[in-house]
Amino acid sequence: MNIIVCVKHVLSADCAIKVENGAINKRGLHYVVNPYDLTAVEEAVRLKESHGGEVTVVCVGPSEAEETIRSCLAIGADKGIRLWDDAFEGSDSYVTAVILAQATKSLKYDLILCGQKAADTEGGQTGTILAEMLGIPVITAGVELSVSEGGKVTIQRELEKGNREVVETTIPLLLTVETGLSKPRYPKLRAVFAARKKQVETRDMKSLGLAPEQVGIKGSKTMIEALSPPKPKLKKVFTPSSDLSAEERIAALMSGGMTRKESEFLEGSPDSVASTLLKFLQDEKFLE
Amino acid sequence: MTPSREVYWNIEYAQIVYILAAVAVGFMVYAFYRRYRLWRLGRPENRLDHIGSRVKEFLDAFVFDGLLHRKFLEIAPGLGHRKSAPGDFRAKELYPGMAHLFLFAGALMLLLATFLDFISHYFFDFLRGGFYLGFSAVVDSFGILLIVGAVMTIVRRYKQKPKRLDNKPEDAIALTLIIVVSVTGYIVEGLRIAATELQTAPSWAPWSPGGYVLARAFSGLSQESLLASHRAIWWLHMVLSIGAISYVALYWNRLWHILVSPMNVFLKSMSPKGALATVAFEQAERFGAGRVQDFTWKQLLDGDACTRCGRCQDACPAYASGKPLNPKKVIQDIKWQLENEGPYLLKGKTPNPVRDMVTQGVGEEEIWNCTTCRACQEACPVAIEHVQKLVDMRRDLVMERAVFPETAESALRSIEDIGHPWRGSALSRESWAEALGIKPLSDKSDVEYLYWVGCTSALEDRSVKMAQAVGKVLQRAGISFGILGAEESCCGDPARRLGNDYLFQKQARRNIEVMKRYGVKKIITSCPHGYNAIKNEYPQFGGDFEVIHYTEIFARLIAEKKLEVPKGSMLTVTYHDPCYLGRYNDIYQQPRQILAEIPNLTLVEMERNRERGFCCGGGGGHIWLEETSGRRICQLRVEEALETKAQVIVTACPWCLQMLELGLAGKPEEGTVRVVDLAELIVERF
Repeated sequence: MNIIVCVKHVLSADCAIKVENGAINKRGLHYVVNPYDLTAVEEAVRLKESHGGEVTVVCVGPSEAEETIRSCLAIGADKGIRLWDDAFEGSDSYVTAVILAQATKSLKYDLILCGQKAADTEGGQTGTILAEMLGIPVITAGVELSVSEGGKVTIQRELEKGNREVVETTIPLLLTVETGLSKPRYPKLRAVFAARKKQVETRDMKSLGLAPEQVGIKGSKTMIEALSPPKPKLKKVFTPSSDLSAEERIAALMSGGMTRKESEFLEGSPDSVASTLLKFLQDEKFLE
Repeated sequence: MTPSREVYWNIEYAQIVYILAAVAVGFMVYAFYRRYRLWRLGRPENRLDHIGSRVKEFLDAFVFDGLLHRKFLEIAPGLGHRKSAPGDFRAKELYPGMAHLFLFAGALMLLLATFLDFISHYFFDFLRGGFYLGFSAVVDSFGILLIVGAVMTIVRRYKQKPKRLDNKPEDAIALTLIIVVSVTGYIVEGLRIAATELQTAPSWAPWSPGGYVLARAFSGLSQESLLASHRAIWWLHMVLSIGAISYVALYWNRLWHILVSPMNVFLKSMSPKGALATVAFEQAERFGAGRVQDFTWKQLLDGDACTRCGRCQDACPAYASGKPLNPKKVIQDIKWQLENEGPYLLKGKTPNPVRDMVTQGVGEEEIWNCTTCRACQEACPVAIEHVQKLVDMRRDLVMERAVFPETAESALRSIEDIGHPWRGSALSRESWAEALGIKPLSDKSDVEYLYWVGCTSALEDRSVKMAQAVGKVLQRAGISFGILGAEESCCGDPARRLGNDYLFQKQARRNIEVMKRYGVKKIITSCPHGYNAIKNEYPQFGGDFEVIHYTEIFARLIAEKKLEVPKGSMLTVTYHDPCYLGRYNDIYQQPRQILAEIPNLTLVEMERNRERGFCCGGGGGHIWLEETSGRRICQLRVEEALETKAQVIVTACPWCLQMLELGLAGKPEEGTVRVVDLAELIVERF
């Protein structure tokens, strides 16, 4: 089974990030492999170890991003491809997906894994757009994955409020993964050394067959207007009513005072699910 | 008639003894050679470096620790350091020390006497007259001491049974041989005296007190039976002595320590105590020690120098807190591995039975229990190096196998990803300094000192106060200094001690490059771990800086009257020695000098202080590891501190600070006793 994993070189969220003059002050900050993507690489390597095949990591990023590719090679990916051109600077999720689609089209794959989102921008778009461009099914937020011999794939998806959904499908497929899927291994030092020696293929705009107006800020569908540090969330302290019994109070404390929200699963063909959803949105006055 | 020694009196064909002795010496040479081949299975290591100071330190150890038994009696701990605990001449190990002294002095004197006898008999006849009588009295008494020492040892081993001693057959055999050989020697002497002196010159006989007592007992026997028994027991004594030597030699009995342990002291490491050996990644076949042959020959020799005295076990905080690690057992487990696998390895075969040294022999939990506090090495009378071995096995687990505790993994990953182990800190490395106006070198580089803050003091909420206190004192004393700020990165100590030497070297090289770029010459540190790494380990990579701990410069500033600590309220404090400041770098006096100069302050020492100081439980990366078994080491230490009734527990290390606060939490004294850093204590009085 051949697997492609799309990885991103991101600013570590574990540093104290300061926004100065509308931009991030990069002094003292560090770049890492996007943790969601690293999980995807680990899962791909595990699948390779049980099913055979090859794992290729693809990364859109400048020369520094090679570090990210080498980290992936160290935990067991076989090949690395870096896609970069100065014209790519400022690309949004859509353009990134375009670039990735150009690169992956020519590769043989059974499965494409992407992180559910990038830890820096938290967009969560690229994987889904890429699948659309490649014309393959996409499943998002996978937390458990098993592939049986005939290419049947069973995926557990993470939904809100701790709910899970089990989906069955077949390859080819694009899956975006949550960090709960697997814990990336700590590489043996020999593997780190071997990864340093491996050739990382690089492809630029021309070799990908893209034009300047398709990429960078020009090709992007979104733009950054302003950057600001997030306001810290207020911590709600929940005090259960003293009328309750001790057992109920403990239960209330452990739930953080939240009650389970009513939810409904829509089932059926995509068309009927879509029309039910549309009707709901209209009925509840979300849509005119 | 003058008294003299008549050699081979009443014995015919006595020269046979020389043939037997030659055979015994042959066995010794052969046994030593076989052992030598085992040691040589280890990797090469130069232990004849710094030969001048090596010889000097060995002679010091020979005179004070050997002849005078300073170390065995624990009058002042530490091979070669006597200065740090002035006025403390209590022998902490009186009974075992005296027992060993008697055995040692008795055996040495008998050996010396035999040698002198040999000289006198064959070359230069000086053992006669009054001198001979005196000589006889001295030697005879020392022989009695040998027996007394052996009996004391038997009482200790088999009656008192202290926990630190484990009894093996070889111990009983060694003691039996010593007693049987020396007692038969006295019987021979007694029979001879009964047959001769008692009758011809009775005034001489008491000059051999041991033999004299027995001679009086034998005096009822007829002359013929005295002569016959003398001949028989003489030969028995000879055969037993030479048999004992041959047995000890061939079975590699513990008595070999008489030769191997002093050898080990001579071959001790001459590198700074705080410098762990570097992995040469370009040449190394294996990273760390996963198999017995991955250790160096000297590390393998350590196993044979070990007498299983158990002083390391008594000193070990992990063992004391009920964890599986026992430093004595680690050394013995490695020795087992060498004895059982060595013969196969020498033939180039795969060892059988196969026992994985790291996971099945020493044990992973044991390897991770070590806080690298170095108390074991300080306690060891024969210079065994435990810490390096445990770190070498960690290196195997981390770099070769990538199997290690998750908490250690997240600390290492954090250093790899963001350059410090405090993932999740909302602070930057410059946050603490902003209010004080302390500038990074990138803003102002013409300063005398670099203050190396360290990750913990810069980024961990509680410890920030320590960095600020150090900064305030330096400012008040008018010291010109700056920080690296965002350009500082983990010194690498946790990575090295957690077994990832590759990461350590990366950090060290990076930091050296940054400091060289700013032309840094002198560095002040507040964290003893950074102090140790930069001072003792960075020179391995070309980073030669003058590194001082803040307690050193504060003590100097106070002595030079450049810093004055104002009067405050009366306070009783106790001082906890950080291992990496004290045991690793011999900074015991400076913090105490500072405390002595603070007005209205009384220092009460804990039971275990200075070289014997007890770890806080945070070293060797343990501040990030979970204590999976036993009690928390920090609680043991805090309990000892609370016994002093001090109001404040003072230390000089951000890790100790955190660990001790953790140990204090939940104790009844939590609200009344505080843990503070020495710098904070000074700033409180400004």
